[in-house]
Amino acid sequence: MRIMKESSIWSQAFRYLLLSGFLLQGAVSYGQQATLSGDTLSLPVVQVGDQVFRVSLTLVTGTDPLQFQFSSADELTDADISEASTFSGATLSVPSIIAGGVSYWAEFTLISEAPVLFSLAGGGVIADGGGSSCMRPEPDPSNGIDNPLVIANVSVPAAEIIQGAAGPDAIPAIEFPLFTQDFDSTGIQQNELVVGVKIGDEVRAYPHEVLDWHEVINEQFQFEGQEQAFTLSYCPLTGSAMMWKGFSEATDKTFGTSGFLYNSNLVMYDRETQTLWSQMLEQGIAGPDILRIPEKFQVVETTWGTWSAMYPETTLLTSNTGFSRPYGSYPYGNFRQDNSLLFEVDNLLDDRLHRKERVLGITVGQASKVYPISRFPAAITTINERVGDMDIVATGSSNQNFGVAFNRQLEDCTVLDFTPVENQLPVVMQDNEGNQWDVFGTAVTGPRTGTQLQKTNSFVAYWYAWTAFFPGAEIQP
Amino acid sequence: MLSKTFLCICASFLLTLPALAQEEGELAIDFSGIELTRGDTITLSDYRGRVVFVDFWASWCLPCLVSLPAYEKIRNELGTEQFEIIAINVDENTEDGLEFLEDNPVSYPVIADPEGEIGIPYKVRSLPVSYLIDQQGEVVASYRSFSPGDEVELKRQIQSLFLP
Amino acid sequence: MKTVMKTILISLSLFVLQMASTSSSFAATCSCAGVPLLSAMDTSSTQPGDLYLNYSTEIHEMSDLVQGSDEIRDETGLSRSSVSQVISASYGLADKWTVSGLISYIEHERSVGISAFSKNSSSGLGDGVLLLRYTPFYITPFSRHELSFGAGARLPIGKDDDGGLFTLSEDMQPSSGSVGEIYWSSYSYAFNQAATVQFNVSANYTINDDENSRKYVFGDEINFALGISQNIGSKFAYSAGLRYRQTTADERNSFEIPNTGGKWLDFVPGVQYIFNDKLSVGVSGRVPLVRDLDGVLQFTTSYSYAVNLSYAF
Repeated sequence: MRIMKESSIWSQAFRYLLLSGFLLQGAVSYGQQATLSGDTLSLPVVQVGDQVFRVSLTLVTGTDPLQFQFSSADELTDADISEASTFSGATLSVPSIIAGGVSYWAEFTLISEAPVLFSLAGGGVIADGGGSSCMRPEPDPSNGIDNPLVIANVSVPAAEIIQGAAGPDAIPAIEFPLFTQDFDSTGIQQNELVVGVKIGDEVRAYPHEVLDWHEVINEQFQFEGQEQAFTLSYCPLTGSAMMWKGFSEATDKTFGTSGFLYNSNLVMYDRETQTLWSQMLEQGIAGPDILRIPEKFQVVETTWGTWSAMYPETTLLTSNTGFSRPYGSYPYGNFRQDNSLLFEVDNLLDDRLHRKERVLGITVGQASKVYPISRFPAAITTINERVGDMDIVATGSSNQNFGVAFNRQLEDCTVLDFTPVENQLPVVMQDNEGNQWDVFGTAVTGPRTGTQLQKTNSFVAYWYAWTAFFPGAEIQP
Repeated sequence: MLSKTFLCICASFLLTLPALAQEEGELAIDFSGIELTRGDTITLSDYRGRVVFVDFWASWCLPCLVSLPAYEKIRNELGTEQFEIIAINVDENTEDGLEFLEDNPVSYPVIADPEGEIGIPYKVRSLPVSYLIDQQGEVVASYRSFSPGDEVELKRQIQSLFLP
Repeated sequence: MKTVMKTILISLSLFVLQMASTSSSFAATCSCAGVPLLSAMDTSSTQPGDLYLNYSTEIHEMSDLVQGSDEIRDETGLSRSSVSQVISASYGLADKWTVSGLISYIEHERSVGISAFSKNSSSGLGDGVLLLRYTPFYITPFSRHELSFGAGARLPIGKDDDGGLFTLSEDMQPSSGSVGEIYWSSYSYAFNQAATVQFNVSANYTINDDENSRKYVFGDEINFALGISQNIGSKFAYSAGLRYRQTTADERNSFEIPNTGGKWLDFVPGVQYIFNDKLSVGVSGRVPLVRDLDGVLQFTTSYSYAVNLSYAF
């Protein structure tokens, strides 16, 4: 399901275009074609199960995201449904809307039945606005299933949310991280794992040695011209790292460790609403902000040796955290190496890989695939393929210990093919047009310099955790 | 779950439960001893035909120090025609018992049993412990404590055994 | 004077049975210990037909953060405590044979100083114990020695899931949820015929092979204790001793849970007031002296104390 991410630039543009379309154009009729004219959204052909209707919706002004209220519906007995809109479950999918001379596709979610209200959930421009078009598959906003069953305000089986030993904030989040470029003073070794982040011009590395004891870091980055709140999380039990941007609300959320685990994975809570958030599902799973999805930023899991070669200008999180923790010691014994599970997880009999095999996993809709880091060749390798309905590139190296995956179809629908680039870190690949791209999927040379490959629902995790959350994954041989 | 070893141990314990001794209704174990102050031999079976109150005591037993005079009072009130008290002092050092008796003399026979020759068969585990024995030599009641005032009920129980 | 006095002495003593005990650990992933010590059972030999009841309340504070043998500062201000209400009874089955049992009601609480969440807590029936004791010889006016052996089981009378919407960790559940085998022995020596001064040494071993409903297996545990007890007049008694405890690591699916297991040496004092030959009241405590805990960091006992009431029928 194509869902619009909150606060993304292009979705704001879509909204502007949609609104400006109806201001400029007035009523335009295209027969079978859905149109937005004035504040009326006309859907001439909507298939609902075995029935077909002509539906009219009215824009509710001042709403964000846009909301449309049901006005009227007439059942049709003999309609061409070849390009019909469809309403199924709670989703209204409209393959083509003409507004302001531009062709869009859109999806709406039913948010109220009395009155009947739909909320714009996603959409995009269809190239050529009426000529040939492509609908670029978009990554699901959350890693979890669409429309999960919510019982007692919990969107996962509540009995599987287990409290670990220590309780909320017993593993203290870092609120004021300190970074250094005096790397020698930290004693960090070349082969130590770090989480690398590049946001704007700021490059930071977070050693697992510190993350193992704190798991959550609330910090600030300069982004889009202002200091904005970001939260890095790392779960040592599932080997997964995420970077979430704050919601840019009046009071930014700060996250802490709830002490709970779901499928042995970190469950955070935000201190403002005390909603529980599953790290690997990247979604609220209980509480006032249930099902809410944060904006996700790319991280790179690799060794300090590789990261510092990629970004010599990086800063490194210090162990000067204000807490007395033995940062040189791993908290969980042999857990990283052995086949043990500290908690029961789903699908634990899937032993196609060693439980603690670090894999780059990607989900696209119902499809899921993992690329074990150790199975990438020693040299940087690019794998251009299709996962689900998305053309992706998976790039990695076992020797340099990293793996990342991006949507290789651009907004203009061009599908690029990538080949690896050696010895030019952070550049890791080049496309068939001659553009070179860095490990964050940004074109750094060539005609498309500055273009950003779309982030996918992909991250590094231990195999047992990936298959617990996303069972049935294909494994890269 | 529970190991076989554990269950076997429990089973063997239960199978070897011994019967209790010196219960009410049983014939009191006969005994003899030398009376501390007079030197004569006291034998329980010699008192067959009278109600006998056998009381084990020691100088370090605080309730005993209260019970001995109380029993003397009962003896004085009931007389010795149908009743007698035999006190058995179990002090390791009999001198300690004698010292107490010097300060708190009693008229009923007191015999020493420092080695437990009587006390062990009677399974004396704590003090005071007493037995009320009827004219046929059967234990009719046992007592394992003494509080001031207990002598009232004891006297009544003794009297209930008297022949008319 | 009934054997209640001796009972009192020994109930102050170090014959402590530990049920479902594991050691505390630190991180969210590792299962914690801090399962509270269940009250001392009356482990003295009981004369046939005698029945003793004991009610105790134990407060167990487990807020020390320890790395190996060193206590370290815990900036999170985590506070973890448990209150146990225990009723135990001993009945003299026959000469030399005693059966004892106990049931417990447990309340757990945990809070973190820096957390925006309110406290986590749980409560409910805990574990029970059933123990059969054989005492081949006991302290009497004629014998200074007492030896006892016992075997029994720790039984999960309560639930290992307190029924909240989310499942709490093992250490926060009222019951261990699993059966344990208990083997126990003790020896006492009376320094005088009155047995007003005694020396006690005991050992018990709990085997935990059973798993709870989440496949969690607590570590096996062994305890050694020794100490002295003394009556002062007819109204007061005290005891003082040392207890060594060692547990193996907890497990799940045959893998050890990190940061569980360790060794502890505690000082265990107690005092008792004797109302009469039936009723007494006492206070006992446990003060950690030395500990060497497995893994990297564990939360463990800061101190505990108990108030108990004994009644002899």
